[in-house]
Amino acid sequence: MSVLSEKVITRDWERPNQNTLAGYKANGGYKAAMKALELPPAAITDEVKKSQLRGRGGAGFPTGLKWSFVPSLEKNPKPRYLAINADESEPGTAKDRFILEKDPHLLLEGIAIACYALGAHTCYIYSRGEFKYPSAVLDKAIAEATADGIFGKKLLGRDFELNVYQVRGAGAYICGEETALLESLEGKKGWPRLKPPFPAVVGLFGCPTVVNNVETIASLPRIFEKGAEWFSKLGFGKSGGTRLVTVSGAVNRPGTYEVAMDTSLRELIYDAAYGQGLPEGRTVKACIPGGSSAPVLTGDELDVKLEFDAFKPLQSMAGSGGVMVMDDTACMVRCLWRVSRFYAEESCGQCTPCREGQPWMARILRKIEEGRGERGDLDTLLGVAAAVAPWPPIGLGTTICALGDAGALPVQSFVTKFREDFEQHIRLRRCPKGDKPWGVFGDFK
Amino acid sequence: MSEDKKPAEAPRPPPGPPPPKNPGFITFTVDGKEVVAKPGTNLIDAAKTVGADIPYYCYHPRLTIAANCRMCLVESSAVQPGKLVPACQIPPTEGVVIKTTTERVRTQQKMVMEFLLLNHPVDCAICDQAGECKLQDYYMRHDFQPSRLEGGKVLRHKRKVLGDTVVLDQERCIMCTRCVRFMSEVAKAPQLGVFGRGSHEVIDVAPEYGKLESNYSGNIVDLCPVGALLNRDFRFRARAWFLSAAPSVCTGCSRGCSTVADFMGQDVYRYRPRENEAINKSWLCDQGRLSYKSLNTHRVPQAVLGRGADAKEAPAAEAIKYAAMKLQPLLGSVAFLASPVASNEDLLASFAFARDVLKTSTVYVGGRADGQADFLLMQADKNPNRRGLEWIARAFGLTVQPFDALTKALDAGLVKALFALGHEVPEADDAWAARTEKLELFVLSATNESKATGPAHVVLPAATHVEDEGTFTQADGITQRFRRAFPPRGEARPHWRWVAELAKELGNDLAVASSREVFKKLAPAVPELASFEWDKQAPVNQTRPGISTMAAAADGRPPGWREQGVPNLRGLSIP
Repeated sequence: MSVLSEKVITRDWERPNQNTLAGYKANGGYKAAMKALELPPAAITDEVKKSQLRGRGGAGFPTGLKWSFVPSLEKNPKPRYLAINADESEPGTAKDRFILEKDPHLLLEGIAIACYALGAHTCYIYSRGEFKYPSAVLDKAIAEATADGIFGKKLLGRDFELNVYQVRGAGAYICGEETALLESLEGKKGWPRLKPPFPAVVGLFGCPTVVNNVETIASLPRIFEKGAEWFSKLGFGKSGGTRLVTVSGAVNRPGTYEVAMDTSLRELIYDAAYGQGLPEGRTVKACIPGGSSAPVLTGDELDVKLEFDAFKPLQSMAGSGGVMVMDDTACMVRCLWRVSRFYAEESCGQCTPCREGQPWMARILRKIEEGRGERGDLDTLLGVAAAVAPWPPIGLGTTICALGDAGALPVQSFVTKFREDFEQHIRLRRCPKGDKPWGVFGDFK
Repeated sequence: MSEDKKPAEAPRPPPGPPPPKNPGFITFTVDGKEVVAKPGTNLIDAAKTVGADIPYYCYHPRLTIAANCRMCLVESSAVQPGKLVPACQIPPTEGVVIKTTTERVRTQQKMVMEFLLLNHPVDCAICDQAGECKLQDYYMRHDFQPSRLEGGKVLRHKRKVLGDTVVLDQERCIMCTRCVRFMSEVAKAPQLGVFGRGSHEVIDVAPEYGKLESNYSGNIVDLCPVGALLNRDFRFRARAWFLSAAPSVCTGCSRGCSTVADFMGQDVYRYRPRENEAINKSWLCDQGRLSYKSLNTHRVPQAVLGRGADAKEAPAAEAIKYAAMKLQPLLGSVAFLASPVASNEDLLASFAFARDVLKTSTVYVGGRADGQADFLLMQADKNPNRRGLEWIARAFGLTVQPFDALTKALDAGLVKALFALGHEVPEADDAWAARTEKLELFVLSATNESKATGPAHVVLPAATHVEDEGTFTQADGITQRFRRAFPPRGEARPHWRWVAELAKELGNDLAVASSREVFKKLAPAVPELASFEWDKQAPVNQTRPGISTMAAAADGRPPGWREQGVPNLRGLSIP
């Protein structure tokens, strides 16, 4: 059992008035930023590289490396931007919203450090349209920090202008994709851009832009408070620090927890500090490890560490940390149909395979779940999914952005790993779980 | 074994990018064949040079890359195996190996075709695009299986009128966004957009515009690879496969856009733009697009002798005799009004006639009045051949006088007799008719009937440019050939032929039997036209200059083969 030696993000969440500037400063707030701003910008980036901080949005890309892709001012004299991706809409994930609600100044302090390192004088926080309360808290925090002179003409008293704005989305899942987010920030339709060029070279308004997740940036103050080595040692393998994961589904204590990188999925589900196990007599049938777009794992594959690289052998991904547990009373077809409907609804419609393929997959799944399935349907389903994004391995998608993969990988992994359940539906011409396809509720602790 | 004995080599520096095989160019492989292309060449275009036909919908060489149809996915050695890349988006790099015909690529093309047809109504039977539809073409080539979709399709607006020229069938749309990109990038009128999301999204006019209003909106119909955007003028008028196509030139203004005149029988059904990098790129304005209508309607079918109540139709031979008899006593005092709407061949012959037979040293220039110009193609000068007219007049030693000079002379009574080409003059028809009413003799060779043809003593029916071979010289001095689509209507003959026959009747045989002979005989005297190789202008879709004087139909067969094989179809008579 790995023990979380020190909390990083959630350390001060329970302290009183943590989401106000006064409360944050009382707990030593903005001191890390003061410390970081002593360093030259390049040294900050080096420090972030040393800390092995990796993007918490889903792909796990090393943050310091991402920053270093921004061309130097001699090469590209355009202004730089930092865009914070707070459009947390992956089903099963609820971590960024708690940072915004409970500790918004942690994010703002991180923004101060990141913008100074990048030479960005403007930062946009793109928050999810449905985040009504979190964005109100964040707006207040930005106003407080600006009034206090932290942001504005002089960042923390230094000769560096930094303005932070919050922009609220309109409720599209696709705007969590970084280039669609930039399009949306520019006031356009949220359609992902073609890559290359990547946002670090041509981003917001055609200028070099770094897009980072809320949790990634919120880790920065701790890195500069206690040092990159400390952060790196907290982690495991090539992933530094800790991560926030959200456990939902058939566990006794669902919620958002900060875990060490070497915590295994099994520990997360069964440990007293986290999920506290399943109701009496139930076993884990399936577990989605990183938001609904991650390929599903079976109950036998739970001994995998929650580190970013550990999921590669299983052809899955750590994603955004949305762990969804399904026990043996749940109907796999119904679960997949629900996932598939989400992606059919949220496909932006730009490129063909995703626009037409996702609704088609959802239709076939509905047909099977409602007992109208036929023998060839599973092959058609797999064929359609493979035309959107073949699996395994991850990353062969034929679409412009990863939304195609996000919809096709669950389909292929569910059908491959739980083929018997699907065939049973077709054989019986009905759902074997009867009128309780979502599983049995009511006897949790 | 020999490898074991090799001495250990010093560690090499990490390999950089390989030096280019052909400096200044990019060399790569497509389907096992080596391609040498200029840097920046699109992979789809480059692959065509070695015969690899990568299918695509959204790509257009004159628009930005959208890469949203995903039809052009190919395998590339530059990415991980199993990954497909869009050929339109990924620029070829030195040494890369592209495969366009592997099993993986074929499967994907088949699936993308099935995806595109999922919500497509497949109403080809009532679709105007049928026969020239990329969905049909690629279905036969890449899919060719029934759809596996069960249940209904997404229903959308079936006949959405976007503007005066275009109607949209949203169900047929495959969301390639070519039209959206064209309107914002080329037409500079970003009026179209994509509305909605996912499989329910539609193309529509942005609400703040309400209606598609641009002089270039007709081009989105040509750009549309399927039958979603249709031209309201052409809609439901002909099946594409019954039309033949003749390379032609738009006569709407002095830009001289290259066009294809689609015709059936002796009717032109539409103009389409023909690729011409120097003049019109791939575009055509809506005014020019509709200018074909005068080729079909209000034509002068037969010669008319006498004016007012005495007017009677007469056969061509009688008209020649009559006109010659009338002109004979007045030779030397007949004014000559030339038209910059006529072709170079017409002008060559008629200027020779004016100089040698009419014995005049001045030509007045009629034609159309100036109109509006715009930022892209449309010119203020609405006459297709003013430049050619000026060149030929100068070479023939004729003084060019503006139309105003002629009206002044007419009003002062200095001009008693007039020989005119073309019915169009840069003033109101009524005013012109009142002026010419006073003339003792007015001989007019005209394509169309108008108020201006009324006062003429002799109206000779002239052929339009689609009814004869010839050349126009546009505003920038580029001379272009146009080709004969079908024989002239009724008794119509080209201007040059009327003039040549009149000259013969008046004792000065030009000895020409075709517009080619007119050009060969008279153009060498014009320095600007002397080097123009009339015979060697490449026909459309043929890179090697051919000698064929026949226009080629879209299917490669000679134009009008259906009609001319059946002589009495649609009242057609073969001369």
